[in-house]
Amino acid sequence: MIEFIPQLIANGIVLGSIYVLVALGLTMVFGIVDVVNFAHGEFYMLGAFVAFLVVDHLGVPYLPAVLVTGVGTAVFGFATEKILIRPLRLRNPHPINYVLVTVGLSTFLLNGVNVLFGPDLRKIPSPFMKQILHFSNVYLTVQRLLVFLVAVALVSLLAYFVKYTALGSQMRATAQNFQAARIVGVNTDRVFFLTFMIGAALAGVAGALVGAMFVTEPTMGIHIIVKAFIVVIVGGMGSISGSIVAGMGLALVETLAGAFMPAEFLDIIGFSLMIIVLLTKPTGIFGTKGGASA
Amino acid sequence: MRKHALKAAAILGIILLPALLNEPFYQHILITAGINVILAVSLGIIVGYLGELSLGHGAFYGIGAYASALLCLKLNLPFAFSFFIATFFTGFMGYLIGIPALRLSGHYFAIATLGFQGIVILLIINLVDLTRGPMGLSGIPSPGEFKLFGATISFQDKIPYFYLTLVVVLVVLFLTSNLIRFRHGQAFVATREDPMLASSIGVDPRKYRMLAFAISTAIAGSAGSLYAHYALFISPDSFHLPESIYLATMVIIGGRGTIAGPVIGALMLTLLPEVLRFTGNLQFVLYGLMLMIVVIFMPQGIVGIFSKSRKTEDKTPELIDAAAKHGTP
Repeated sequence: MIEFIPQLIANGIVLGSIYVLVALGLTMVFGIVDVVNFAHGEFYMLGAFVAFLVVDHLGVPYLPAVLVTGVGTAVFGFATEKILIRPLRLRNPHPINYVLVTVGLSTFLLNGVNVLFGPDLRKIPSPFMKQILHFSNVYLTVQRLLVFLVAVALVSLLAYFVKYTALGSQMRATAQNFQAARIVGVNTDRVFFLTFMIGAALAGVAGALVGAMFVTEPTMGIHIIVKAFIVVIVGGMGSISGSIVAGMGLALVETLAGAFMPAEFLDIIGFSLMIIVLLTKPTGIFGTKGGASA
Repeated sequence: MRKHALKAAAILGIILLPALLNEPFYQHILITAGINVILAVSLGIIVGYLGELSLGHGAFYGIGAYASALLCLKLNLPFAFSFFIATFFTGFMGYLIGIPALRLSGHYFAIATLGFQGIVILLIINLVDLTRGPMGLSGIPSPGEFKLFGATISFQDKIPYFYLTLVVVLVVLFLTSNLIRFRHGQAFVATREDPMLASSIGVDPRKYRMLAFAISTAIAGSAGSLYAHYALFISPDSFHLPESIYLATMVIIGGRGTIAGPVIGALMLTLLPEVLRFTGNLQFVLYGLMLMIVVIFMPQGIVGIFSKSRKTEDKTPELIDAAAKHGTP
């Protein structure tokens, strides 16, 4: 058993990279726009389908296709904010309205993709699935390494953006105090749609990576969103570093403990942990008091 | 007077419905509609009185169904007993879940109920010895039969089961519409409108939120029991997150904060799938679209269209007064 542990840790880090990419968008949209986006998993699912279409139908090589996916899902995030979230913010900004409208969007997209493409299991053709690396007794496909590297690159980029750029400071200001940010001249509307675009792009890229590694199918968003909720709640709604720690932590626990017990029990533990954190420390284990922090 | 006459005519019409629709298929839809009305009205209590959205109502529906079916199958209890025990048990579970969940509100309440929904379904799937897991429970007994004027009436037939469902629907509607007229009724509304103000006059908001949640979940449990003894087979699929979302869609499209709203929403979303059956999965795309449009453009739902002309007065001050009389400990 012991000799498998390095392999399990490697798998856990790859899975954690995916959790982090998806959870980051969810946590930023909550921290900055104050919306819990129940359709966030569908951005991830759309990402996988966009990448599949671009590679399979247009014949674009895999890596440029991932880039196209990021841009495509960002546009989708932009549209979501403009068409659904903004009207609600102006008319009826009750939290349950945001929940309802994003649940509606999730149902719409999930079934829409199901109608268009059917529930078949697809796989995005990626050349990196066939190349296998091994370090002593740990075996990894290049695809898995790519997932990790892309996650590290995007998370670093995001952290730099949020911390050191003007737009990033505007985002943090909006997260801390929306009214005060407006008073000092922050264009909060721009901050809101930008946050949605970043979140959707991260989820879309994650979908494009996973769609090549596992499968691309319409319900893949539902599976990931549940994990992302656990990560975001435990890490603290709005906290970027919290999501990174909690995402990696959850994935490592899942892969290591998954070798010893059925996955369903792990899910029960995950849900219970989420509810306990909600009750005892709603700002999350790593969360600061409200707002997004780098 | 006119209102009462209308009500009576509506009830009479509904009672005569099965006679008009003598195809078993239509009668099946009537029973399904009745069960959905019970579920939507009960979720409407949480949305309307608590101002919260539960994404776990399907789980309570499932708890009622499994509790009732297991009581019949394992303990050989008659339907009448298992129906009431399942109802109370589900309400009790609702109360227990409410203790932690109702400390939260808004987004957090929705996420916590989503988590609870996940836990319940995972438990049903994994407690294979008790629930037979994903294979579902089969062979659930029908409520049996009784003799009336020499004729044997069996609940295995659709028409008697429709009347049984109708009785539960009417009791639930009566209870719900009178919730605010009961001794502590106005305290519910006061709590919803302004929890701070309500607590300042001695109404403990938590107590009323808990009570409303327990009542709502108990009613969902009774719907579960009705469903289990009608379908005679239950599996976890019927009570999963899509069911919870479907129920929430009924309440919102019909119109939240009213009783007519969830009833209209439930009837609509029971009939639409039958009409749109030929479109396959496309109908779910439509429901998602409807939900988004209603939330953004007509937050009062279908009921809102009809009551727009009527002036809605703010009744909060009188309700707070009334609540103050009852709520003082």
